[in-house]
Amino acid sequence: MKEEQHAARCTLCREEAPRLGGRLRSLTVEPMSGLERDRAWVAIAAGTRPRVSRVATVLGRLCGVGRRRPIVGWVAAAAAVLLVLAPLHLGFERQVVSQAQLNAQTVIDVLDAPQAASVFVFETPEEKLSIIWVIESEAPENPR
Amino acid sequence: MLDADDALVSRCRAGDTQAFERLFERHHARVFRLALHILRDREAALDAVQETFIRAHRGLERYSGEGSFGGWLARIAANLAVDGLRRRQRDEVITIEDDGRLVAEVVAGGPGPHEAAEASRLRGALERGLARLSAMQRIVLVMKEIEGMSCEEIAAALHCSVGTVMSRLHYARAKMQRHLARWEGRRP
Repeated sequence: MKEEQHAARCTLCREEAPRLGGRLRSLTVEPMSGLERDRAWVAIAAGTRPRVSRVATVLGRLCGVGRRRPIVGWVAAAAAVLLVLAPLHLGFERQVVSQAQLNAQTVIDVLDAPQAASVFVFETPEEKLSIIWVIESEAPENPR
Repeated sequence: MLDADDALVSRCRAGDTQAFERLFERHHARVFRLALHILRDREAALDAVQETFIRAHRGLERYSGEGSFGGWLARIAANLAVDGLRRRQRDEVITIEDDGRLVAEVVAGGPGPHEAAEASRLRGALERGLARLSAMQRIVLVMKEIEGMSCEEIAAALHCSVGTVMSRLHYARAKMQRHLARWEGRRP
């Protein structure tokens, strides 16, 4: 629509364009030769080939081996499970140990006390912080 | 033609490589012609054809089916050719290096020696006129007059407004008219 509006106003585009267009269309181009066409298609085919990642390729091969030799498959599966679970388990153990270390308390001594009470001295190994617990027989077992 | 293209596109999406080769067969000539007219370099135009089809294949999912597949390809080719021109940083006058391969010899058959010589002279004048245009003026003129694309299609291909396309087209025509008028005035 815009084009028609412009052409209605513009003598050049209305009168000269068809003649110029005709002349320009006479500018024929030598088409691609058979060799050029073949070369182009080879390059295009290479460029459009689906890309498979190496991981997928390796996994595919492993799956193939697993299908052909089930025992190998089972061993690989077990190894994979071990590889996944072992670090998890180790991590869990480490967490427990570190927690135990944090909470580690060493009974240093049991002090003499009246019969009604027991006195304990605890010391955390890292902070060297001594805590004295006194437990009285009548009282609830809460530290003071 | 359009239905056949759409059917081939559907087959391509399903992974049929032969269908894409058929699309290449149907459209490579037009893509090449457009790229060669814009780039004015045969090797660069051949590269543009390859890149156009590779990009089209990768972007097939984005082709909505609105407009023709050929128009969509032309848009990709034009974008690539424009990028190529920008890379070469030859935004103004481009010297003609007519190695005889850019323009086909159209002597076969009909015209006699006089007509053939006249056609050859006109061809030379047109080539020189096109070469004197700025890159964007030439691209717009080629897409409009040789490839028969609409201003809207050209605007979409070049990522500019229809007004900009029409303005470039107008100035390109004016320059070509002046050039051809001078050439006709000098003609023996």
